[in-house]
Amino acid sequence: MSTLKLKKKNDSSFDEDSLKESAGDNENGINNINQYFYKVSNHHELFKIGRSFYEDYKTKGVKSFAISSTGYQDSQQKSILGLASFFDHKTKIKIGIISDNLFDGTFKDLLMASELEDVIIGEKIPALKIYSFYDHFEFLDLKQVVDLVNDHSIAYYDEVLDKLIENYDIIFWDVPELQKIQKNSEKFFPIIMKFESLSIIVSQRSSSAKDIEEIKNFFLGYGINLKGLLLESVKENDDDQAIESERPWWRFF
Amino acid sequence: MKRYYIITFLTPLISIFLATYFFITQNDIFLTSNTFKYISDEANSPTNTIAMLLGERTAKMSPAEIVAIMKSEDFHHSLAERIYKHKDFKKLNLNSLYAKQTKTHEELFLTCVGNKSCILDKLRAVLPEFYSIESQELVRTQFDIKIKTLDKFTCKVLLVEAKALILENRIKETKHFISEQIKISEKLIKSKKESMRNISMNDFNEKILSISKELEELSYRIRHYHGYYNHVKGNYYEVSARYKETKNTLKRGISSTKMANYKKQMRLKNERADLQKNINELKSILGTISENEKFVLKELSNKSKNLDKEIRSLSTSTTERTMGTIQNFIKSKANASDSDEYNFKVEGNRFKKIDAEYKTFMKRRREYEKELAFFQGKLEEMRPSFEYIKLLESKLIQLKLVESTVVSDLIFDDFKPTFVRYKRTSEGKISVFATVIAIFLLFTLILIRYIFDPRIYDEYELTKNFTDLKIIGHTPDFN
Repeated sequence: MSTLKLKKKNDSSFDEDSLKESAGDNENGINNINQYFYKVSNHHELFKIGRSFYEDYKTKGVKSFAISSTGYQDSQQKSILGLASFFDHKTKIKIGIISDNLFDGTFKDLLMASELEDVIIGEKIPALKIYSFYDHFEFLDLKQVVDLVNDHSIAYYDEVLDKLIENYDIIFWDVPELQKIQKNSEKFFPIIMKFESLSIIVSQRSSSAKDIEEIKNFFLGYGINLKGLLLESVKENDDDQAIESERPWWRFF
Repeated sequence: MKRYYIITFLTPLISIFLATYFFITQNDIFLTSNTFKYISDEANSPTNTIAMLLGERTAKMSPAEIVAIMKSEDFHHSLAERIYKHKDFKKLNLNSLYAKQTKTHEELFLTCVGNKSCILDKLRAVLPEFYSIESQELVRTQFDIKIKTLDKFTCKVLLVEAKALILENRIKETKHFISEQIKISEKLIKSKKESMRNISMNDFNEKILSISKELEELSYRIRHYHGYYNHVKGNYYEVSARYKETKNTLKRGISSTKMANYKKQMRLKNERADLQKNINELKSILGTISENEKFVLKELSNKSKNLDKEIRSLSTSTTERTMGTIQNFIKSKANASDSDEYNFKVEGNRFKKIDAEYKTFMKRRREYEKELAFFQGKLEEMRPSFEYIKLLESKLIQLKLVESTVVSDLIFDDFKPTFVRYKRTSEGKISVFATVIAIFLLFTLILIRYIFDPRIYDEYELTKNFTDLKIIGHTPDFN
């Protein structure tokens, strides 16, 4: 499928050299190795979960993977980035990452080094702003997709989403918080329906079984296939404090 | 514990803090004690010894009763009275051992406004906290009176007053016990005497004595009369028998058969004598005897023998001598017949008279015996009651004697009392208690926290909670 790309530089201050290095961009401008893949500290876990997702992609043809959590967006971004790196490292495919929180957390740095492009994915469909990270991944703002789907001037929103998904070999959905979805369920409904597989991140010591159950039941209600659970371990040193700060006071004890 | 480290850390800390606070805020308590002995069971108890000698009992106390001496309401009241009257009453520190803030004497009794009964009520309420009696484990009859107050002087005063009151009460109690016994004994004697008012044991004894004497005299007379009676009786029987036989003999006479036999016997004897005479003459005349003569002699001899046989076959009673005797006897009896009849009549009359007298004696003796048995039975019936009264009277005298010699059977040691100053709960106890509580609380809180903690801590919990979902793995982490 052919798409029209209108490239422009994303102007923001960031350590471009280090990102270039991470992206595997050499002096000749050839970026064939994704260095982000090697920045993962627990490779054995990445291989374990990556193989599972890759198998789904290869054998079951799943290409729309959604990652949700009980409100730990950064974990979702890290997991998506890790999985995208694994896929990128494994095979040369076009990977799309759709998130409502592109400008915060892990994605922020990558976005700074990405090129902003206007991409037209179909006729009568407005151009989408896509951040392309050295041909490894393309980032899309979820808000843009939600707006596009809920644009009443476009008659067939379902086709719009199909075209978007078709534009990539694989798509990772950085699912917003459940409350946010529930609040605007009519807006998110078309997007949710495009999730072929949902994985829930469980944050060690923070996520409660009740919250996980709520997410599980919500998406099962939509008939989404639940792939499984990803456990986010807490680092003994520095992350403890971050987790503690997220807890309500009564949970300190 | 690592999971809930704040609880783990805070719980012991709070326990230590509370224990320290509790220890510091405790009052200093002064303790003094005095040992005393209960000697009621021992031979060296004066009252008991006298009582034992008299066969009486004193009011004994069990160890439990001794320990409870100071727990009675009466004791609290009496001690309160004593303390109230004590010259240093206002100097005493009567604050509770558990008081967080101690008050002055005025503050303690402020609400009473000098009202005696109100002060006594308050004293009765606070005093029991300060004293107790404890039994010694090794010596069954030894006890310790212990006084605990917040002040050494108060401790001393309370000990002196409590000791004095215990001794006073004990003497009073022992006396009361004995006086109660006296009252009961007196009451019993009175009621028993009233019930036996119309009966005198002496009367009974006199009556028995008189009957016994009469009976003895009568028995003596009967004994002597018995010989004479038997003699007269024998004579009468003899005379009577003789008279009857004389009468029979005279009436009967000699029988005709006997007489015929006698005559035949006499005739045969004459025949035999003649025959014997003939034989003898023949033998003397004849020199030589012919065969015919021999035959005649032989015939004569045979005849004589036959006569002998016939004579012998007749009764000997019908011999000539017997027949003579009989005839003589009958003749003599005929002569004595009148005198025998006279004798029979005389002896008969005498015997009848004596027999009647003898029977009267015997009858009277039986009556005396019956009467004696009756009075003796009555006496036996009444004897326990008489004995009982006698016993009670002697017991009453003994009880009065014991009552006049009562002394206390509780003996206090005369050593100068020593005082110990301590905190109600020692450091060691508080430490152990705090540790136990801390451990218990720690585990309880952790357990509660764990039960109500919905968070997921590890893969195991995740698997347990979501058996239907697969655990794909851990999220990747970036350097």
